Amino acid sequence: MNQILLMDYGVGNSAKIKQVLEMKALNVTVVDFKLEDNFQDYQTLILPGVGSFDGCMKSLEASGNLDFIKQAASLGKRVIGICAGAQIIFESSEEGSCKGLGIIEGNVIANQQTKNVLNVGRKIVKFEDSNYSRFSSDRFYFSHSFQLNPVDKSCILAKTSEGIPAFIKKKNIYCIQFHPEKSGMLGIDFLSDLVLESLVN
Amino acid sequence: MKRVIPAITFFNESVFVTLQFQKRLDGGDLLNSIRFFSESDADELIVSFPRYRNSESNSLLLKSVIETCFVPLNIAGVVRDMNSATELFGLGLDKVSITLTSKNINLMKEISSRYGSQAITAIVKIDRTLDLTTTLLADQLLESGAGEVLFIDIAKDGSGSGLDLPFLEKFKSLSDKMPVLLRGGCSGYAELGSVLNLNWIDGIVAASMFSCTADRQSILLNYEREMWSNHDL
Amino acid sequence: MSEKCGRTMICSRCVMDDTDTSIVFTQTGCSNCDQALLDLENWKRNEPDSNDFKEYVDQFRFNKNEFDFVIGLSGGIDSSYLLHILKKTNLRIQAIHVDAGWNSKIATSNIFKMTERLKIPLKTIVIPWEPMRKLQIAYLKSGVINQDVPQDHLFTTRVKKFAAQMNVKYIASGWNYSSESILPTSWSYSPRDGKQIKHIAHMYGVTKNDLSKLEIMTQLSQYYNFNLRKKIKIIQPLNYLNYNRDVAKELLTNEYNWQDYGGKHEESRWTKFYQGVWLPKRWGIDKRKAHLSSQIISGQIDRQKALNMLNEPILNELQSEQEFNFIANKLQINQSELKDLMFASKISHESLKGDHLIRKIRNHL
Repeated sequence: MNQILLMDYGVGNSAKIKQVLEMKALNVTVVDFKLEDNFQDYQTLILPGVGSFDGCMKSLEASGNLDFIKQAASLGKRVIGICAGAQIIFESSEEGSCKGLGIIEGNVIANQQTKNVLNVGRKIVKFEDSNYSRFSSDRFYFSHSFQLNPVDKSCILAKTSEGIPAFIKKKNIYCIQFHPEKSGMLGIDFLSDLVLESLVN
Repeated sequence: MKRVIPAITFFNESVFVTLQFQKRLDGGDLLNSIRFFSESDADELIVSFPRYRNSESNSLLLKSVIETCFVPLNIAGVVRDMNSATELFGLGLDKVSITLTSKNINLMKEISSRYGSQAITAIVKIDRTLDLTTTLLADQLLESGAGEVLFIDIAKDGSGSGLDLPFLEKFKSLSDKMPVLLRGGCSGYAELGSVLNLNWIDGIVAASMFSCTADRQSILLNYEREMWSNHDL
Repeated sequence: MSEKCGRTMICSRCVMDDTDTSIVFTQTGCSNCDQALLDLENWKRNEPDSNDFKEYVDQFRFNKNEFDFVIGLSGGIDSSYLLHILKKTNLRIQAIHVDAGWNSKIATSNIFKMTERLKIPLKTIVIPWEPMRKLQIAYLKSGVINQDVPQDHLFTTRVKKFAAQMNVKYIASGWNYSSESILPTSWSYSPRDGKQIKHIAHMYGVTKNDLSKLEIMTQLSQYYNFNLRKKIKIIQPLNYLNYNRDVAKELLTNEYNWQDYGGKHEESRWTKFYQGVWLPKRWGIDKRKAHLSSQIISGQIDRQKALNMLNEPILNELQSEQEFNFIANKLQINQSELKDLMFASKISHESLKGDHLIRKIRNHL
């Protein structure tokens, strides 16, 4: 049975993400309880997140699902991190002192490319990878002060026109810095396609 | 890319186009307006509730507002404590706007540390009688943890007579610290196009322009990106 | 003449079928297209720049009023094209738009772009939503077929009221033989019948206070106020033009960046639901058959193409579900309640109180 898990660990935007996926007829299971370790009957796990790195990590820890997410990654399940949820997939952040999930090698650093550290608004994102080039547009909504900084730069599949990493893919792990649920129809299509891909395979 | 943000004001039963923030034209159903700007893929949307009172029905209303909006949403006039902030962010709200006063600074700091500076817009209401030094303002803004500042020219609200740039330029230097947004009197698409070229301005918030016909006599929601972006006007 | 198509009998000249319960198949086709052909003799297919059209238009000019015409705009193709044509002839036009809460974004945008570009004064009337919402729910509960009555009644009466206030005698309507010559009575009911609206409102709990905010008018009241006192006339200029919707769409798109919203009358989100979900699922009626039959008879589309279009559903299952949920949400009723209403007993308009005598007299005339 295809299953899409959407982690709700007390920070953020899971309600909107659920809403937009359901608009595309994708059924989402919101997880706001501790999952049993042997629960494996799913294809995709979505990790949203809003606010600070430390705030997210602490909330995730409190939810009891931290290890489950690490396990999802190592089992090859599709893990999609969004905004702060994408950042905690890395090892650490300049923003805080907590350790991240460490699923992708690298850290999260302060924005340098924008006039102010805060990168907020609709930005131009070009997807270099032909699998995603149809999504290139200027409507992606960003709202963050820190950016993804993977060790392996080749996994950055898209950047903003200022050079801020927008979309990272490392094997089964996907990191989206912008808010696909707030980036117009293209954003919604982008997220739902990413999810759909995992269900088809 | 510069931001163009429509603003809607809701007075208890209906949306209103305002003049100096007093009710002027009845704009009808709130969710309708939100839906319009959402379907227009507005850069962001600000909804103000000047007479907001906590109640069960208002909580449901806010929930509907958040559910109806698919563009980044900023709500003003509602959040007065951490509880309501937590509830709204949990439902999917992106930002809150809070007036920058000494009374509000602690709340703003708390929200900023929990949800990030991007979650707070500091509102500064223009008062031409006050001699506000920008250094003092800058200090307060930094202390508040707000991610951006929105200057609201109340005297010009709903006038469509043009932004008072000569006056607003006083605050130019703040743009080094954080994005600066302006609201009050934008006359139309032609002015939008030219003002957005100024590099200290990160975005314009406009109300009557996006809710009315050009003569501002009738309600007609509009948001036509081609009319200000890179085309000849 | 008719042919069998599955379990329905379909006209062999147009595409009307026995889902029109009053259809009569004839030697030449059916009662619908026979009548349409007769009506079409009234359609003068002039070119916009022809002398004939110019002469036609000149009769409305230079009266002592501030405006020659009032035009009701919906953002749809007919009224948009009409606006374009009449403005080109230098007639003095006052536009009005009635917003009953169902405008699609595209429709609103079309109105804005055209009136701004053509510098046409536009008055908008926003119908109070709460009373409207309740009236629409009352109509759903009544079980009658024409769920467009509330919207249509308000459009017409408000436009006429406005013309009356402005002392303008002529209202230009986008109604056209080209695509609207056929509409079976079994699929419809006059939105003019204010008496029935008031009755249904009362039956299903719309308070007097709410109803008064909507300003529903009985037929007598309309006749007195508009026809007798102000001598208001509805003019249909598209019937004096060689009007072709596809050509019109292309022109408007090029000239104004006008946008197409989909099916006929889908400029209203309510009508999209009504024609795309409610009529087909509850009544088994596909209103496209009427529109397409009109176009077949007027030579705008060939029958096979129309049949091919009818083979595709108006909305696919996902879209139907989305529209259904949207309506339930906007009307603030449960999806299950809306579903129950969709399959509740069918009631005829004629069986409910209304201005039936007046209607019969009109039909007779």
